[in-house]
Amino acid sequence: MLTTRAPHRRRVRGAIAGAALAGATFALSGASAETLTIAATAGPTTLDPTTSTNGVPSVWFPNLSYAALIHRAPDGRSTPGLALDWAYSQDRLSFVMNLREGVKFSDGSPMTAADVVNWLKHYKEKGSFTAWLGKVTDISATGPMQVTLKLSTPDPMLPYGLDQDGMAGDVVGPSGLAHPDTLGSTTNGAGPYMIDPKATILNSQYVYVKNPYYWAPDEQHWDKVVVKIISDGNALMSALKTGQVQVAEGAATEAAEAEGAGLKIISAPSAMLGMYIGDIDGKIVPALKDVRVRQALNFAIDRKGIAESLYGKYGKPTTQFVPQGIGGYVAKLEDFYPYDPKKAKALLAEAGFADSVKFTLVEQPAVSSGDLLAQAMVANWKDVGIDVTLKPTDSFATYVPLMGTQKYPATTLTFQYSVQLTDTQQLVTNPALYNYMGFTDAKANALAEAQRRQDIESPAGVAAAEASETYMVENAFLTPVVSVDALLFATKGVDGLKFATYPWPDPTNWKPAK
Amino acid sequence: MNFLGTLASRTLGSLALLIVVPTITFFIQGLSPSNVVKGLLGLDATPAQIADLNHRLGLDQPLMLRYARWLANAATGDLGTSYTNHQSVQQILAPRLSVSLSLILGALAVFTIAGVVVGVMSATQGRVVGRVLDVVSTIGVAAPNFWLAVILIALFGVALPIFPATGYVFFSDSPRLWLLSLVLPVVALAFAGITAVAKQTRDQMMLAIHSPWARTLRANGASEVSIVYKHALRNAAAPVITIAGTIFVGALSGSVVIENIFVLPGLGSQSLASALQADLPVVQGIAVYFTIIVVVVNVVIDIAAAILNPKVR
Repeated sequence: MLTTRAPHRRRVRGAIAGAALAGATFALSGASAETLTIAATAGPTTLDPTTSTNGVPSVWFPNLSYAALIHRAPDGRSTPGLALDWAYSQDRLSFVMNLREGVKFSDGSPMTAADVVNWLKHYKEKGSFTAWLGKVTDISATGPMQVTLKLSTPDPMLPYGLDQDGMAGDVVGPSGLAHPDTLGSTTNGAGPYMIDPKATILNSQYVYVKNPYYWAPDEQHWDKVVVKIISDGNALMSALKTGQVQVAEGAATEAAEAEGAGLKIISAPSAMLGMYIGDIDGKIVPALKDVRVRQALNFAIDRKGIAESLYGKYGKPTTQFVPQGIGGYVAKLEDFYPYDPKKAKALLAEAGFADSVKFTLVEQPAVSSGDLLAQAMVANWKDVGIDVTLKPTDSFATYVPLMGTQKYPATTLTFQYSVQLTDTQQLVTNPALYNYMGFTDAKANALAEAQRRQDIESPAGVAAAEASETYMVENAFLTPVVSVDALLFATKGVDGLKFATYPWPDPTNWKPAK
Repeated sequence: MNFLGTLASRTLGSLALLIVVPTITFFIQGLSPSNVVKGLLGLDATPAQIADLNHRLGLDQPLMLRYARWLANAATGDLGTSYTNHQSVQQILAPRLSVSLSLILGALAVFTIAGVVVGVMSATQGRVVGRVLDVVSTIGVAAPNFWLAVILIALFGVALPIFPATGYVFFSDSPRLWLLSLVLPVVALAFAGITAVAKQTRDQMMLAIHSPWARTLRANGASEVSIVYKHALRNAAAPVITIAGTIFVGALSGSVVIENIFVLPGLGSQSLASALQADLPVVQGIAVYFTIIVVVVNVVIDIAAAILNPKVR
């Protein structure tokens, strides 16, 4: 990758000049040990963590410049971030965090408990994922470096909402909060890097330099991190092959080419793809209220065929909402909806909807191979007499208002894996992120409530998660189809790339290969 | 009407585009189902959050009022601020303008000069070259620029790394690398134009070379070189320049695709990102910038055509 920008410094950059003078390769830009060049397929709409989205690659931008209150290690453990320790009270209605001393934001101002309180209040009011703090009734400084959150009802998800992928824990400094409009294109965090606005061209390249006040300089593995936005798959592979980019968000369709080019491929289960049914109450399509119809939608899908043909070894058929290894996964549920068109037809007939189910399926943007996936599902349903029409959308700015019209009963979706309670709370409770039709299922709510009374990782918490998972699968609230991997393609010069299902790959862990 | 009068009249007509194009862009976007606020806040935004952000961005005002404000501010040179990152539109587009100008003016220069050279050769070197040109012209028109771009990257960026596969270097950072980073994208964007200009040049040259006045010049002892390069080429130049202008306007839309494939931080790649985010002020700004480019090029073409062809004056 060659894009460079230095408006106030009219000098040729050493690495690039060297490459040009050699006349043979352009691989050196970003390949030096002090600069890491990453490719992301899309730029962030904003650098402000308040309204940032998460998932890969959106989360990479706040990861670089904002330290979170809780840091989730690549193996999934909660480790100290801006908070050194944290705990729920005995009645689980208070959450106390003791903050790290000596932390400074990238403008040099020291972090205080008041700063953390102000940020959390700001996020609770204006954040993209306010549900993380939905049960928080009070946020206050209870010591010079202590913050306490009071809860209306127990919520074991706070350590997830406050980690680097939850966004609510990405504390913004006081000057940033005082001038929130500046946060769209600049940064004011306590993370290892900060944006260099002069070298950054929004939506094309984001240049991060070291935060001189970061509390752990040993963990600043690069002098500079450049994130290039490369949406075209061919361009991405060319940039990787020629060394212009060192790490990139990969796609299953390009994995063979990456392997052939000698690139490292790192992957882990990342998301469930399938169909979300908003119209569980049957307001638009009465048939969808009948669980047998929803189960027929599941039995009709040839998951194995779709997974193999569209995602190869980076996709696996699934009927569940969390993958193996995450609490709540139930092995026997994987066989709950085998590909069985006859049974699907029988269920439709039994429900009185043989050859009469017809609806429109909105295609969510950014689903991996989304058009092909949706078309394959439609073809499978057609075989059992279900007539589904696809409605594509080009962006979330179009998709979100479309779903808000409440005229469409279902949508395709990518659901990034987290913990099971996230699935329950975002898919089937009321309220829930995806529940745009506002259906209420008392048992789903009760099962979520049962999970909230336990620690996520405790045996009781896992058992409660399994109960929710089983209920969601058996009642066919969704049609999960395939579990896909997140992929990173990397040159051999970078280490520390290994990641698990959750947290998502984090560029602050990547370091020069020894 | 004298030359200056004609030029002034055409310039005024072109300037009207500066109002018409952004106005159409504004209302098309205003009436589109995309919603930047809901896109930013996501599926679970509360009505209060939506109302608050709508108010802060001024989107709770009637469309006509928003348009009137935009127009009034644009008249003073203020194109507004981005809905998504709150930077001023000029600040966002300033570094990108030079990238797009480098690409599209580079393509204009390449397809005009190369097209004229090939066209003249074809007209003067006989039928074989003409036939070859016909075939290449057909390929040039049929081959999509994005396909050609991918082939060029694979050949000269990856297999034989003579040029950078992707990316852009600013002229202020390194004139040499700036030039190298532009070669492949300019060729990809210019290729169809080369063949079109060459074919137009050849046809015009053939007409001129075989015209009665050319025969008269030959009868009076003028050399073939003088007839071809002094008289026929000048005679053919005006229509060639006109078609070059038309191709140039087409190349502006082609630049959106080329910038994405070569990862150039120009106006085209920004227009795609901003349109997907429903970031109306930025899209408006790009519409203004592109319109200014078209107006300026049209005026230059009018002047050039008038200089080359007295009849135009």
